[in-house]
Amino acid sequence: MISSDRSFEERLREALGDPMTATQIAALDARLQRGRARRVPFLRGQALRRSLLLIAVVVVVLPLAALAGSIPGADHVPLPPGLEDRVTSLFSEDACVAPQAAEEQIDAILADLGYSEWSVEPGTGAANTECVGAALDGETRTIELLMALPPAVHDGLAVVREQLYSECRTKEEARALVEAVLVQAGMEGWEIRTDGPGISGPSDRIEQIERHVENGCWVYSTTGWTAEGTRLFWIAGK
Amino acid sequence: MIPGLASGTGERAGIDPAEELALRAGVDAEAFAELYRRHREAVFRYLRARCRDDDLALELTAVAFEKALRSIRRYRTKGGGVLAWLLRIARNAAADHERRQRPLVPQWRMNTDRPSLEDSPEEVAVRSDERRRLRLLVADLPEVQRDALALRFGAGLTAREIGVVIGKNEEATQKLISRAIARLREVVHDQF
Repeated sequence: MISSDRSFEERLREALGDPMTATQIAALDARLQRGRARRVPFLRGQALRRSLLLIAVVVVVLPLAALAGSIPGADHVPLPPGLEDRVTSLFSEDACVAPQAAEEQIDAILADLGYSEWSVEPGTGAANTECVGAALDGETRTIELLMALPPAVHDGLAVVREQLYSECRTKEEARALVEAVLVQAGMEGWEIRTDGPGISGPSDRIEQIERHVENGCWVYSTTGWTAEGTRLFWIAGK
Repeated sequence: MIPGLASGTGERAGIDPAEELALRAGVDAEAFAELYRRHREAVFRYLRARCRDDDLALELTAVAFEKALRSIRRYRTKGGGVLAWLLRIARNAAADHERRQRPLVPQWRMNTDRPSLEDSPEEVAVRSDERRRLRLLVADLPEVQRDALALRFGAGLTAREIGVVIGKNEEATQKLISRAIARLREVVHDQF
């Protein structure tokens, strides 16, 4: 019950002004530091990649008219017609598009569509990686090349992900399974870490995965990269 | 360096140090980091009050600061200051998220971990926490009332500053807050 020894406004102030915990601050700091790295898992799945681009469209296309002046959105331009589909089509499920080829093909699309104000820019590590994906940013009119996983790694991790959902493995076992995929694919310059964004997975199965982790099982989480371009793979568990 | 700002002292006449920090943040990563440290708490508390869920509030706070980082170069000293600017970005981020999530059923009605308002007062007292319950009730208010309370008691803005964020003048904002509190009192009286 709410007692009556303090004013209602005081209670509201306490309830809504409850400070962030140290854990929340640390999580937010980490989330922002990861920033664009979190987008990487989107790059290998056509549907998810399209979602990323659609989110960009939402950010760009929905100029919130009431918010004029310096508010992001007020001076956004919509993504040019056809650009998203044309760029997305370059990165099919089972293809590894090299950065140079991606840049050339995207430049050709931009030229074909007449979008001379747009540019292609390599993101962190993208210039020196085997395969890339792309993210459109209507705000800056750039198409950023992002590090993407080679198909063999992507497919191997998909298998490991399912295996770790269906079996209860320790941290060491989960790490070994992920490592085996990376070694077998001949990847270099990577780290497997446990300090990532926590549990991630298909939204319709996330509760099941959380229970799995609550039971002491480890799962494969996601991938990203450091500012220096080192590829990171995160596993999650307790 | 932004033309007209020769240094980062913030002491020159006519330039509020907080505003200078915001202007420097457009060209100085460390200034943006300081801006983030100063205001993350207010942005998070606003979003938490608005969206019921701490994890979602954290995610939207991150989204808001990412958007702010991309747009800070265009920030200009007008319209209520940098916190109001950040909160408007946060408000847009929350609105975008809600548009994608519809139809939206109040989450506390679906999640068994959340307190059920149909339980007896004794059970509720045992199972739930007062602050969390109040936040859930605020989150169920009509959007504009929810925003006003979240900005007032979550982010700590004045009525004038809230008005800048939600597009009303100070008097209208004050009335809105009063109405929101009155409505919440009624809900609390009925439910608790």
